Amino acid sequence: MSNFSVGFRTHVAPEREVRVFDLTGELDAHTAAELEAAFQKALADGSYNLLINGTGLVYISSAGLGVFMAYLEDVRERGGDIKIAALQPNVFTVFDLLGFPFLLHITETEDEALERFALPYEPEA
Amino acid sequence: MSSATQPRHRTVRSGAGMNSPGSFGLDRALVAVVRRPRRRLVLLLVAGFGLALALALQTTALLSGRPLPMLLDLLHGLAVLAGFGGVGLVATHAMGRTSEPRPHTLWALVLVVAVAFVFGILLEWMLVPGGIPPDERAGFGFLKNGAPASPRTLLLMLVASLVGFVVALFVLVRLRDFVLWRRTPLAARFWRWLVAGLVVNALATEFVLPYVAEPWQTYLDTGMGIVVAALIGLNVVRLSWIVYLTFREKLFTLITVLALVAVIVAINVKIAPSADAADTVQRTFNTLVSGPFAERFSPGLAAFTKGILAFGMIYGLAAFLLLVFHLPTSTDFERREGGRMAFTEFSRLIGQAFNTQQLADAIVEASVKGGVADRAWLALVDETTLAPVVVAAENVPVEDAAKVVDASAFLADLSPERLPVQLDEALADLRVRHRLGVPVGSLLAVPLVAREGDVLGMLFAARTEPFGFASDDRKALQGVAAQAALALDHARLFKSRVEKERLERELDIARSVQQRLLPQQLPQLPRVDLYASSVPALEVGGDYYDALVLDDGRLGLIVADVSGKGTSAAFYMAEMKGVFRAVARDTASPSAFLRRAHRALTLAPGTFVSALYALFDPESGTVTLARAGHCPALHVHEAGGPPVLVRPSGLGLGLDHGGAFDRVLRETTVALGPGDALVLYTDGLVESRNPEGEEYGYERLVEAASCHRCQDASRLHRAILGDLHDFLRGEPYADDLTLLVLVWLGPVGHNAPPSATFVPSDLPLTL
Repeated sequence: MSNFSVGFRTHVAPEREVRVFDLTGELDAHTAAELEAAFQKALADGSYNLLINGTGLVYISSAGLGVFMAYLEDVRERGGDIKIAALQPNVFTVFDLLGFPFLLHITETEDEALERFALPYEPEA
Repeated sequence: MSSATQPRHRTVRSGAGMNSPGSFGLDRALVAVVRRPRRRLVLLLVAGFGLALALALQTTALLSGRPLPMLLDLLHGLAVLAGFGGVGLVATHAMGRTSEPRPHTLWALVLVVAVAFVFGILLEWMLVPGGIPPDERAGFGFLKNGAPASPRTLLLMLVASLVGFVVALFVLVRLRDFVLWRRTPLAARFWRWLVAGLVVNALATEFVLPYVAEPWQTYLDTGMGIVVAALIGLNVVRLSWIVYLTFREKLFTLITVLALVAVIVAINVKIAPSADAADTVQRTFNTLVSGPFAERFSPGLAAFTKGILAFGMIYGLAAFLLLVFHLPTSTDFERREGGRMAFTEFSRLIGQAFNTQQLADAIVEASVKGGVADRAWLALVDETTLAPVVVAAENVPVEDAAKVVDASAFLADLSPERLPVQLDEALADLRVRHRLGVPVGSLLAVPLVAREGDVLGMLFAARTEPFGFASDDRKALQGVAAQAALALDHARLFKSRVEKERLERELDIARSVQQRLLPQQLPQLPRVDLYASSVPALEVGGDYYDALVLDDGRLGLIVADVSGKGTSAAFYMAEMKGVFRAVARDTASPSAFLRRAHRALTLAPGTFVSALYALFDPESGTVTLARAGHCPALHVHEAGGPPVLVRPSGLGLGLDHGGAFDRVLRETTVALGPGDALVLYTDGLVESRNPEGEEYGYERLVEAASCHRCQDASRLHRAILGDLHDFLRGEPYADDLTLLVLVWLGPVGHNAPPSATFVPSDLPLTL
C-alpha cells in the first residue's frame, strides 16, 4: 500500500560515522511515521549524524517536512546534525520555499554533504 | 467358570432356585419394563411373591425333614428366579449408569466389596462354629438327605444368598460403567455376551445340570466354565480409564485397596489366627456364594453370583496391576493432558480477543501452562520504533524478560524461512545475559509471522535446565506462535479499521470546522475585484485564507497552509484565523504581522504553517507582501511581460525557534497596474499530479495565468482551475487547494478593462 521506503546505510568517515537514509517514493502524512521510526532507531543506536539521500524521493508533504524539524533540534543538541542531499528539483523547491536551506544543509550530492559533517553548522542567513 | 474346580452338592438338593434373568445386556427390554413406576411396582410384587414362595417351600422341607421332591424343587427354582430376577432388575435400574465413571465410584466399589468380605467373615464366625475345616463344614446345618436342619440354617441360606447377590449385582452394574467407558460397538457386544453367558450358566446350573447324569454333568459344567472364563477375558482388557486418573487418584486408589485388604486380613487373623490372606478370600467366597448355604438355597443363583465375583476379582486384579504400572508415567501423562487443555483454551480465547495485550497474555500463559516451557515471554515489534518490546511474560517479570534476552538480535538473526531458534545451552549464547538471575538453561525463540510475511514479534520459551526442549515442544510452540500471529494480525487489522473509522469521523468534524473558518463573504471594495475558493482534499488539510479591510482602507489578504491533516490541522487553522483577525489591524507591515504570528502561534514540534500576507492599497495599486515559507505570489500583468512569481525570502512559521525567522524574513512591494492580477494559492495547486505522476508546477501556472489575463477575478480563477483539471485528467488534488485572485481595476476614474470580451467562449468554466 505504501509506496515509500527508507533504506539504511552507514558511512564511516575517518572522524565520524554518518547514518545515511535513502528515501524512496512519497513521504506524506501516512509514510512520515516510517521515517520517524528510522530516526528514532538511529538515535537509540547513538547515531546523531543523519544524512538524507533524496535521489528516490518524488514527493514530500508538509507532514514529511515536519519530521526533519521535529528531530533537528534534538540531534544538534547531541552534537550531530541532519543534512539533506541529492533532492529532485520539485522536492527541493518544497524545501526551499519553506526556507529549509536557512536551517540545515541541503547539498546537491551526498559526498558534499558528507564533507560538511566535518564542519560545524553555520546558518547561511 | 470356576465352578469346575469346586464340586457342588446339587444331587442332594431339594429346593430349586433361579437367578436373575439375563436382562443386563437387554437394555431395551429392561428399560421398557423398569422405567414405568407402575410396572416396577408389579415387578416388585411378583418378586416378593416369588421370594415368599421360595421361603415357604424351604420351610416345608425344614418341617418335613426331607428335601423337596423334584416338581416342588422346580417350582422353588422358578420362585427364586422371579424373586431375585425382579429385585435385580429394579436394583439395576435404581443404581443407574453413567458414561463417565468417577474415581469415587471405584472407591465405593472397593469399599462395598471389602464390607461384604468382612460381613462374610463375621457371618461365618457368628453362625458357623470356628475351627471346623472348610471341607468338613459341608454337612453342617443340614440333614444327611440335604434338607435344612434348623431355622437358623434356613435364615443363613437366605441371608447368604441375598447378600452375595446384592453385592455381585452392585459389582456388575458399577463395573459396567468402567468396562464400557468410551465404548465401542465391539466392547458393548462383548459385555452383552458376558452378561448373557452368566445368565445362561446360572439357568443351566439350576434347571439342567441336576438332571443330567455323569459324566455329562461334569462336561457341561466345565464347558460352561470355559465359555464364561473366555467372556471374562474379553472384558477384562477394557481398562483404559485408568490412564486418565490423575496421579493422586491413582495413588489414593492403591492406598485404599491395600488398606482395605490389610483390614480384612487383620479381622480374619483376629477371628481365625491360623488363616492367611488366601484362606480369607477363599473362606469368605465360600460363605457368601459357594458355601453350602447359598448353594443349597439355589445352585443357579450361586453360580451367577460366583461368576460375577470371579469377573470382579480378575478385573480388580488387572486394574490394580495396571494402576501400579501406570503410576510412574502418570505425571507425564497429566502434563500432556494439561497441555492439550491449555492449548484448547488458548485457541478458544484468541478467537474472541481483539485486544493485543489480552492476546499477548494468553500466548505466554498457554506456552507455560501447556507444559512446553518453565517461563515464556513475548516481544512484539513496535509499529513506530520497529524495535521489539516485551509485552507479556509468564513466570518471570516483564522487565527481567526484556533484559535477559536481546530480542532485537534474535530478530535480526532470523533465517529467511523464519525458522525457530533453539538454544540447548542458552548460557553459552551471547544474546542471552544470565546475570539477572532468571534461570534460562535452554531457550526456544519462535518468530510470529503474519500472513504477509511480516515478523510481528518473537515468542521466547525458556527451561531452567539445558537441553530442556524436545522436538514436540518445539512443534507445540510453533503451533502457538502460528495461531498467535494470526490472531495478532487480526487484532491489528481490527484496530486499524477502528482507527480508520475514528479518523473518518474526526475528518468529518474537521472538514465542517474548516469550512466555517473560511470567510463566507469577501469584503467588497471599489476598484477591487476579488475572488477566492478553497477546496478541501479528501483528507482535510489545513488551508486557510481570509481578507480584511484595515482602518486605513488597505486590504489585508492572507493565504496559509498548516502542516499535517485532520483535527490538529483544523485546530491550527483556527488559531491562525484568530491571530490574523487580532493582529492584522495592529500591524503596519506584512513582515511585522508575520513576526507577530510566528511568536503567537503555539505549534507542536514538527508542525509549522506556511503563510503569505499581502497588504493591498486599492488607491495606488501597490501590494506589499511577506512570505513565511509559502508558495510565491503570482503577479499577472494585464499587458506587457509575462506573469511574475513574487518570492521574498522567509521561513515557515514555527519552523525555527532561534533568530532565523526574523533574520530571513523580507518584505517586497509590487506595483499593480490597472487590470493586473495578483494570484495567491496553496501548494495543492502546483503539487497536484496527473496520472503520469507529473506535477502541475509553476510553469504551467504561469502559462495558464498568462493565457487568461485581462479577465475579471472569477474568470481568471476559473480558468486556472480549468487548466489544472485538464492537466489532472480526473486525478484528485494532492492537498487542499486554495486559490485567491485579486484584480485591480485601476485608480478611481480609470475605466475598467472590458474583460468579458476577452473570454473565449469555449473555455472550460465548470470545475
